[in-house]
Amino acid sequence: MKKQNHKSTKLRTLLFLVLLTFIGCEQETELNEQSLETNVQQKTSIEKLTLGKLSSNINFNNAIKNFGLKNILENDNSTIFKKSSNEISVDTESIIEIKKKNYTSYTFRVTDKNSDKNTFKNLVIEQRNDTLQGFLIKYKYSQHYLEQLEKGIKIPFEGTMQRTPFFENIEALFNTVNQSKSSNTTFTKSSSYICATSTLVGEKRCGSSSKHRVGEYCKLTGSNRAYYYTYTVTNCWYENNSGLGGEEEVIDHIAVDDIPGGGGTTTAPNTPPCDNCDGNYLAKEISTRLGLFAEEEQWLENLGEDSFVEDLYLFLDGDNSLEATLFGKEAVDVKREGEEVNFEEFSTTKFINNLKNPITDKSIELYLLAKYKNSGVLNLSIYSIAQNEIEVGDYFLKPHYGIGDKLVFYSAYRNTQRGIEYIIKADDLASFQDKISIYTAAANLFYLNGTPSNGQIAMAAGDYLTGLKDMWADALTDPNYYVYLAHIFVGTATNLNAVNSTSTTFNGKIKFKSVTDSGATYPNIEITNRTYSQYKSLINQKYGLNWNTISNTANGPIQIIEIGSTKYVARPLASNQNYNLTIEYWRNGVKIGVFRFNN
Amino acid sequence: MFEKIENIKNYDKILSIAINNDYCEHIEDIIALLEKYDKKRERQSVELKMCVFTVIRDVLKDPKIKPWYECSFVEEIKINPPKNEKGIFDYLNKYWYKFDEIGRAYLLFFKRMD
Repeated sequence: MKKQNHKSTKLRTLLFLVLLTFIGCEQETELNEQSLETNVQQKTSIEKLTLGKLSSNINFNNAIKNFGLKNILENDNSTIFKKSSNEISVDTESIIEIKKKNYTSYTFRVTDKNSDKNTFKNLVIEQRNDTLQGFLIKYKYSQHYLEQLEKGIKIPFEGTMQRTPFFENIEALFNTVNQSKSSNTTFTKSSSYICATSTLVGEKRCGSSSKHRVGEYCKLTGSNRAYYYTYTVTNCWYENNSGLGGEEEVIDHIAVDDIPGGGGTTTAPNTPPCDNCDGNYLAKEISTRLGLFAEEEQWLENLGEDSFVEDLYLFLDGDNSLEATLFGKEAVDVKREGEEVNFEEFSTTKFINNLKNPITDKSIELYLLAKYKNSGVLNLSIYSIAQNEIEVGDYFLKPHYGIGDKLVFYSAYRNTQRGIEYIIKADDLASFQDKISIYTAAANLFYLNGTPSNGQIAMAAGDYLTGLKDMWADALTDPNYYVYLAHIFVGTATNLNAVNSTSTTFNGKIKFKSVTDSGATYPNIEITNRTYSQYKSLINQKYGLNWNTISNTANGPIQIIEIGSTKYVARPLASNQNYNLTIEYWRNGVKIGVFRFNN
Repeated sequence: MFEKIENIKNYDKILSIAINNDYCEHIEDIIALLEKYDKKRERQSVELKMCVFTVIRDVLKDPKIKPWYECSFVEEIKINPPKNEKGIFDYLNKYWYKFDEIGRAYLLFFKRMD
């Protein structure tokens, strides 16, 4: 018992230190979209993610599913959306994932139509060991704090924080909130917790990577200027009889960079629109970076109010690569010839040039996967298109030209309603032509049940090996996985450039290797570290259904588990004497793949 | 009962894979080969049945391959297997539409003798 207390005290001390560190470092905190904070000491990771990014995360999916939030979040086709439920909208663009040993939480900012501007709320779902629970937490800034914030003055957080008790699902939580609202007691602080909150003020600097801080020289305008933003870290502890302290600590949540009331902090209110707006500064900076001649620099200066100068500056400011410099130089040349430049083209072209399918090692990718990999944005309309389409198999390939009329890539489509199916980098046209039957088969599998869902795309678009690592143990939890699997093995089965399936060892996860050979019409996968019986049990446990014996053989029964249009058939006999023990996976009356066991 | 070979595209390839690929085990595998190398047909169509029968007939001509009924849902066939080609196709014809897709697939397996 003493030992436990000692450990607990140590952890609490650490947490306080972290909290103090956060508060002490307010001046230095900087915006980082991907990773807000990682506390190495406590091995706590904090990430700001979107629903799209999280959609392939098994833990997240299980959490929102079990908490009853999945339908609310996903019942909308748009990438960025807010879904209303009981007048509470959930922001899916800023989800904070906090991971710690045996603890994971997901924090969503929620808005309530009736909230005043001093107030904002978070919905927190946390998984602690086997327990999933959630609560709403409300923050109310003091008027003084808000006034100071709006002036850009940083002071320690002033205000109140209240939270609901824990609930097992969203319905129970909302019911309580609604009932509380009518009785004018919206939130009740859980008596078993004590929480401390600190608000951090971060600094977004001028431009995207720049040195200039708030109050320093910045030529840029609007949200590109330097500004302060805030986010809040709250830590809660179990409260025991001796007051503050307890058996273990809970890292609670972060309220992301936003001023309550939806006002946002896109610009610092007390900063002018720009410093020294004569254009010379940016032209000089650009000229230095691109090595322009004096005449070209003068031309840039003479552009005056043309947004090209600021756009080019921002573009170069955000990318220090040689490629960006070359593109910038080309952009100046093109602009001088009177043509417009779309800087988005650079990042898209760069993305396409670097697009490598991990199976084929070619820059040929299914369009939906490519789009997903490029954060959902793949604007092809910025390229000029030629009418001279190429016909390859069932596909029509449309060439797309970028800056300087360079052929960048082809988009491939068929006479279907699907639109573009493949993006093919110009250099890899020959490969696409050579393997057209394989690419056709892969697309057919990918679109087996129509356009894949966001979740399926996320699964398939992830790094393939990482995807397998993350997904395989849970493969049996999601029949959609097999579409993904089949898609992968169309590639490996036909030796495009096969993934070394024999090296797939995944830390205690199910190991497998492809034993598919040429001419096969579906994947054959040998499960190497589970027996036939164990694997059957996995399926049985997943679906909570018993294997149903439909026939008997000298070696044992042939058994089926049927889940909707999906069927697993387990049989102890096979034509292939190496793999008598076989489980077939069928869907919609068609065999999709086979698991083989050598026990 | 059989389709003309010339009406099946890539017939030699289909036959070769059906005979030599160790993972080509049963009727569904023949259907999959036809769909991959010839064309897709309505699963309940007579045309598909005739094409499958044609491939089976020629696969069983290979001395390495023997018909195998151990997995069939028709228990009596395990006790009294067909003695000749006519018997095999009478049996397949009789039960072709009597089972779901799995039952039909399992009517006949190919046993490799090597």
